[in-house]
Amino acid sequence: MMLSTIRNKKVKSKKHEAIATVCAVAFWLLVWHIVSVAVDSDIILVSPVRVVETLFSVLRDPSFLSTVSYSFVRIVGGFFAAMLLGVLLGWISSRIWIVETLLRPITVVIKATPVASFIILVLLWFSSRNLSVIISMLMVFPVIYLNTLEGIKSTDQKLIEMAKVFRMPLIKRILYIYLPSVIPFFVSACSVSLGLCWKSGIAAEVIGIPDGSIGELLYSAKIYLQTAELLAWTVIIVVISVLFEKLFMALLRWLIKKLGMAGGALHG
Amino acid sequence: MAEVKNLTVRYGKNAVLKDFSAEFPEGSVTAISGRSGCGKTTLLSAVSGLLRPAHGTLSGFGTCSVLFQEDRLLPFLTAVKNLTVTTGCTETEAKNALMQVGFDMEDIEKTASALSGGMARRVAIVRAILAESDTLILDEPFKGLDDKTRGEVLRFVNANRRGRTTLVVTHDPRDAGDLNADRFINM
Repeated sequence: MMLSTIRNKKVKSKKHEAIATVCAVAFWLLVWHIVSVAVDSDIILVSPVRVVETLFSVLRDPSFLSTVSYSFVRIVGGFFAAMLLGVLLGWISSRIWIVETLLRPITVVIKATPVASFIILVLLWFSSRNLSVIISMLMVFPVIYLNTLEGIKSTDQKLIEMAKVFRMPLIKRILYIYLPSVIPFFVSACSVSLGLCWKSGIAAEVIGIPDGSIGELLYSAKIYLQTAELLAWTVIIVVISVLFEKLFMALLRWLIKKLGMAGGALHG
Repeated sequence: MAEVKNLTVRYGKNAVLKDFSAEFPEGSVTAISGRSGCGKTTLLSAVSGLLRPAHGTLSGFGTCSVLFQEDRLLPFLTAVKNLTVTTGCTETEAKNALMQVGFDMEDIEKTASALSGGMARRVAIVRAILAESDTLILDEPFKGLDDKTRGEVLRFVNANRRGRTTLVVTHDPRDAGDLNADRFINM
């Protein structure tokens, strides 16, 4: 009885929270609309209604899908490449201290350097076509690498000793001892990196202006002062980024559950 | 015959075990006792290959299976899975063994993190016993078990020791007799 009351209260408070969030969004949209009417200039501040109209015309454009898939494939490709490289090098670094020592300054430099500097540097060495792959990979790599390394280092030494005594094969040690320890770190690293790869990837496209990318359209919106197009594409980027993040995280959590290594990874 | 000769083990500059020697005839049960901090667990760690001695030699122990002072179970796996994953035994063997030490069908499917202290201890004991090895190392085996459970576990250990050379660290004077110890070392 008491448990169901608590549960009902939780459901109610979640409902209230959702309603409050919708109201907050509606409030800011209204403020935006009022200010845009007061300013009365589509270049300085376009109204939300105009942005929605432009959004629909962008969605109806025959080149919409090819533009989105161009950027999507490269940015997400960069994310997966960083994920593989980060996990692999994280594992190697945990075994061979010299690899960890060699990679330490690189990760510090990547984390501290502004993304624009990297974009310009990479443009000097590579064509702009694959710029967003390299940049999103570069931005995501330190997050995945450092979290994987931290996860491996935080593995319970007593369990490692137990595995050694009982001569557990390496594959079982990885599955049942290292992975449960690494997974919480890996999940939170992925969650952070997914937003990061889109932000850095699109920034790279805006500077490198590869033909047929979202970044190119954002750049031309800026050049021709098309504020409505700029905001419509921004909305599209945010929606794709959030949807991909939700889908990827749901798949990751499903996989972890399926492998029976939930641990503390599935909370939050 | 397994043998420890002039064994010294250090933690940094501190020698926990100094110039220790002992012989362990094949199949014997040796009860090891002594005050806390005298190096009993250190000796077991050296025998099981987890600590490298500063001096001295260890020979004839072969492969070891160990019941540690802590249970060291894989927390996200069930009691049965803990046994199959670490010892390579079948699910049926694991279930039978757990039943012999007082588990019921519901308990064997609980994850290790959901087991009580006494249950976790029993899983750890069964793991050490089921694992294939030449030497059996038991560090305070019946710690935290009530008398009835202790009796069940004791029967299981004695019935499944399979003539392995056994080293038991204990503070409980009953353990040596109950495990049929034929040798005693007071460190």
